[in-house]
Amino acid sequence: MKRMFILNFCSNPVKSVLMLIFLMISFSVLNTAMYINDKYGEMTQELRSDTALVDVCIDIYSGFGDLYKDEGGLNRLKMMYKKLASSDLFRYYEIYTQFMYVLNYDGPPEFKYGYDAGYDEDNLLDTPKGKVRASRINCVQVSKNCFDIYNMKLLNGRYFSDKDYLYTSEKPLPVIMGYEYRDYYKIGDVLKGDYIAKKLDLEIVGFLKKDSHIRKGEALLYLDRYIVMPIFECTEEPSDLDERVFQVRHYANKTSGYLKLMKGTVIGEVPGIINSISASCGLDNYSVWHIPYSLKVDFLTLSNEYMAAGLKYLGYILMAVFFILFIILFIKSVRAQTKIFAAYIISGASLKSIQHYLLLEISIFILTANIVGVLVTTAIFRLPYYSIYLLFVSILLLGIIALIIVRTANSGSISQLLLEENKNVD
Amino acid sequence: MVKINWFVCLCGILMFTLIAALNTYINYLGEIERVSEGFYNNFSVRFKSDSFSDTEGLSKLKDLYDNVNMKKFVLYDITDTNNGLGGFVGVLSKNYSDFPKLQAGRYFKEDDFFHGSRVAVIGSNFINRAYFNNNERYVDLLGATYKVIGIFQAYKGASINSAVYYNLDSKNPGGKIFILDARDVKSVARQISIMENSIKLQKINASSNSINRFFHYDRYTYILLVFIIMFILALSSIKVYFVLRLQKDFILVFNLLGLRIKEILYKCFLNFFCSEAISILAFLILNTMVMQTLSSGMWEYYSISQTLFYGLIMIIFTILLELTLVLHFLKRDKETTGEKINEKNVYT
Repeated sequence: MKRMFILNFCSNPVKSVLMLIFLMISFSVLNTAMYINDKYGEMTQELRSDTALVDVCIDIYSGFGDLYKDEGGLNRLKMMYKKLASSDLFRYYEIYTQFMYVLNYDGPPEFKYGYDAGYDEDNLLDTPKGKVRASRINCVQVSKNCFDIYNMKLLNGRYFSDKDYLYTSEKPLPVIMGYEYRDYYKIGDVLKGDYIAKKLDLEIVGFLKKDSHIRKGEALLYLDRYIVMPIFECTEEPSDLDERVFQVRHYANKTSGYLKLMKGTVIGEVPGIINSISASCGLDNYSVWHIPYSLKVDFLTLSNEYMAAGLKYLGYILMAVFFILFIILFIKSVRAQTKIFAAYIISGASLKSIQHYLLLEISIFILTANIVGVLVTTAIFRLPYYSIYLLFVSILLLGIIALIIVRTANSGSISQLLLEENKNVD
Repeated sequence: MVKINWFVCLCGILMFTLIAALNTYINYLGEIERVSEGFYNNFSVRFKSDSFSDTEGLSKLKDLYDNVNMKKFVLYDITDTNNGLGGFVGVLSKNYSDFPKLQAGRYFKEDDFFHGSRVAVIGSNFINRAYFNNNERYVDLLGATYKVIGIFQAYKGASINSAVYYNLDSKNPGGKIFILDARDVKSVARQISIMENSIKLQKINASSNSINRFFHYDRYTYILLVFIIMFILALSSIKVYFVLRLQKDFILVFNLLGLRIKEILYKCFLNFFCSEAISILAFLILNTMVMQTLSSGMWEYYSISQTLFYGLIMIIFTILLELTLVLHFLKRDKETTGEKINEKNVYT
């Protein structure tokens, strides 16, 4: 049978190679389309899932001027933060976009706060050395748990450690830079910064991958042009009024984050829960609002659903094309080989072995196409992927081919085909 | 007698269907990418300029409008917008019609500019803020009343539906953040360099928040496109192979009978052309019956003209492939016949 297969393949190599190429391309297209479709599905899930943290946003309700004056105000805010961070009813994520002044900044204007809207003028800040030029740079403060749920992968460097979230004035604050900073700075560089009127040394410890993003309320916030800093805890007690004012403002930022509700917590109860926490800390009410989906995100998910559906339809059309064509090609090929089959039968081969050989030929083609399909997708996306559709198509195709073989490659039809050919020759 | 090759017909119909699906998918993708970006082309230039925000701003705008070096152009003032998406967008356009899809009314024409009128085209989310007066719709914007000349809806759920376009000359002084757009990249670049000589402007390399940035459609679609083109080419090759296999003997016989190449090609291609024509006809019928009725969602972006255009390119490719192979057969046949005659002469 092996010899029979090789003989037949060599007798019409163009046809066999064409069929094989066609099959390989079909399976590769199908596997790739299904991979992309799955990927789109995952991304939609990322937008839709409750870990997207758009459910509740809290912000300080009224000004916090009183807290500056009140010596116990800072402690009340710290207590509020601790209660938020340790609640069993929800998980608390700290995300705040407070720009950072960078002193004597000489990088491109794209990183400046308000650049897209045309407001990127520099300021002069008072320092012990006199007035220094300072640029407002886009900066986002995040808690450690944000790295677990958002697409913030490192291009190089390291993530923030637990120690990085405990600030002391003795060491510089580690920061991770957005992707577009990679051409201007390197790991280990130290920038002089001013974060809500507190002078900080910022040490670059890493760079984010391209298009890293977090979800902040209404929209996706791409971090390519942002400095990411840990939303640290102040370990030192304020030594003067300036320091206290800084810490109050910093903790006001820390208590303005996003919640993910734990199982059993109802969205309608959240304002009451937050306000009871703030009241227990001796603070005013916090504003709590529910953002189910913003227009932008809704549009993204909706469009993507159409896109994924489109790919599926494309996949179905391809499958239909592939099925019909392959079956036609196979029937034509069997008809073309009638004389060869007759010769095999005359030479003593059994009809069953011919049928087995035909099925073997197609099985090898399908197996090769499956392997090539997986290899191609793996090579493109650097991730092994095998769509269940491929298996489904392969089994269905084999079944149909087996049926065709039984119907066309039997003694009756072979002699019938031979008779027809003889008639045509006469 | 013409003999229709049903295999060629079927391949043709399938190829057209595949091209239609792919074309629709790519058109849809382009559309939603633009909607997510505020409907500006990706080659448009955003710039900051204070030149139009002083008391001379209007005359400078008029000067720009009269002397613009482009047949079709649009200048957007996005100062009062949410980064170019929702909000009040000032528009100064000439022969430009590439705006979001209209639900009712019209977009701006040349008479709307510098004639002292206040007109606006509002997004569908803005309808509630418009009111009727003498059967005309009006809306209050930026401290003045504008006549609504059109309503657009780009795409369900899109932020751009919260935008309002108004004629830019109605507001003096103008803003300071603008987007210059046109139909092609060269015109925009040329116009910007001309403007740089007359007014002070600073280009803004704004970061994109487009749908493509999140889903990477461009990357994935490119991969898919390459594969599907390969698939269609393989389909054409198989078609040619089977047609030639059937015709090979005839070609050789015709050649042996001494028919001229022209006649052989005519006989070979007549059947092929007829089969292809039937496939186009069948696709057109299919188009009328099925494709045209699928007018919702993605199928809104299906284009019969583009499908036929790409389909015809594929048919031309198939014909050229077949022509090359037929000529190759004829050449090879002549050579082998010549060799046989030579051999015969040697023996005799």
